[in-house]
Amino acid sequence: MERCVLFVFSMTSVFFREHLLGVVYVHATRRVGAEDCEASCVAVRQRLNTCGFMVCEPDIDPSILIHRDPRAWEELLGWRCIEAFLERARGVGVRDLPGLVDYSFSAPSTMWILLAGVEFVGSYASCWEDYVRRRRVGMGARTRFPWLDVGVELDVDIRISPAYLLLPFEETKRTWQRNAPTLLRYIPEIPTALDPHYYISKFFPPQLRAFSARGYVWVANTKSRGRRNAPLAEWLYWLNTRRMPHIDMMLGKFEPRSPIDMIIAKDCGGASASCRQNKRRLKCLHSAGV
Amino acid sequence: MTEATNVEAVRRWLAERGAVWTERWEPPPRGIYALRNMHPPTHAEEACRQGLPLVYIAAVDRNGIYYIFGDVAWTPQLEKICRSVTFVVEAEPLREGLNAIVKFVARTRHLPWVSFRPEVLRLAGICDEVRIECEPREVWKKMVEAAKSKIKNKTEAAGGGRTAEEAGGGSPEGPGQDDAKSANRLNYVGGVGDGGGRSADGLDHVGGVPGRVLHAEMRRDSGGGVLGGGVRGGLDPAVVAAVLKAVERCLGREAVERLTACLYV
Repeated sequence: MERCVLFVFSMTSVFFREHLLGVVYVHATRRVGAEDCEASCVAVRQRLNTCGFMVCEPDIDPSILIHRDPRAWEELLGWRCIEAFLERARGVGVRDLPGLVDYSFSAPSTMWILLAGVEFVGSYASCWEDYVRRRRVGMGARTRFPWLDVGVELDVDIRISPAYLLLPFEETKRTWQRNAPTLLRYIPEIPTALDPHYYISKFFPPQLRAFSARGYVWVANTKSRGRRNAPLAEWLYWLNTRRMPHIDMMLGKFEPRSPIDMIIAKDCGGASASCRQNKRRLKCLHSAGV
Repeated sequence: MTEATNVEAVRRWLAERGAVWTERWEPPPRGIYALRNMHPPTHAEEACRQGLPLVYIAAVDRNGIYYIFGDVAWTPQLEKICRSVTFVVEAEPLREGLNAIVKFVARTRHLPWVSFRPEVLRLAGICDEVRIECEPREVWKKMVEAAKSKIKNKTEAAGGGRTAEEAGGGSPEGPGQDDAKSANRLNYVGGVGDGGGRSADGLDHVGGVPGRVLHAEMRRDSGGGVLGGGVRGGLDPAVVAAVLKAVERCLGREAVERLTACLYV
């Protein structure tokens, strides 16, 4: 058994550990015996769920699946998750990380099917389990935009984040109707399985799209029926950049559209995100001097 | 698939295809139903009383996910009155496996692609083969309508004595003075973000209630009322491209050339 465990741990490189662990286990089983290796697998359970299967420990919520930036996937999901995802997506013709990112971005509502069977651990595991096993995704905005008083009321009713595209439209149609009627007036059927970004950008109300020039922070702080329009700001950012704002904030890649957005770059760059709608205000959100 | 003859048809097809399959006289396993609107169980009761079995094809991928093809979503209430047969087929690789089954079911049941769940069509690669079939109908309708109205506007502007400015650009005085009857108000609203003095009236069709005027206590950075961006007259190139793409798909390349010539002469 010791030989087996030592053999496994001697693979110090993460790359080799991720790629060869399954093979290592098979060889070890043959050489040392199955029982011994069962025990050794307990020892490496941090890395494996059951003998030979990789676990994924993401540092981000599932909305990264509509974040078209392979570097962010590498950084926040890590290669262990990416390999696990790729393994499952190979059946639909995905070969590499860019292909996986593209597939996920263009067919977000199929990802819960493809990712079924992946084991998640870590602080974001519950978010992923909710999505993959229970088909549940938080509806609200993920991004904690700074709070400002812009004194503008808009008659816009969009309370759903783009991350909701991860669920099949047919199953969530009523939620969309109730919580994003403005969007559904222009796009009655959200194609969550076929290039949603393409169709939504085509039909997103241009007058709303134009608000992004005022800054995402400005949009997020306009109000509709007493609520801040943070989801609308998220939509605008996603439509303009094909990336989710809270992920860009985490990585310090947020792209400001106006001077008012600079407060995010200055004060909230490292804000972490949660998979559930978080109503708590962070200190950085009371940004003075704006 | 409620007719007994279908059992034989499925068997024959699977054998011809050389698929790896097993035939189980039991209800389908839990999985993802591939058809969008399945018949309610009550529809199957009559057939079941006649002794006909409900036929299911369950494609299983290497991760153990089942994609179920059948006319009726199986419920425990059917257990007492219905026999069922499930053909469990290995879908490996997933895309090719699903693709073949989707096509077989569509052909034998005379089902259009829209009868299938979009996710299954996408996984089966049908959307790559016949993309138009996967595109949302409502969206296409809107694209065609938008293109039609643009063409109509242009025709009117060209032949009806209206200038392009009147037809689609907004008035030179700015949105504050522009009348509500302006056909293309969206265009000048497109400039809101640029910081000019904007009228809230331009946004009345944004909200959930048609025709309701937005209440916007917007801070006016400048009072000039200069128009922002937006298309002024002419056709939106994106719409034209979409229409041409659709025309090419539906009517062929020659039609595109004729339409292009007509539009740009």
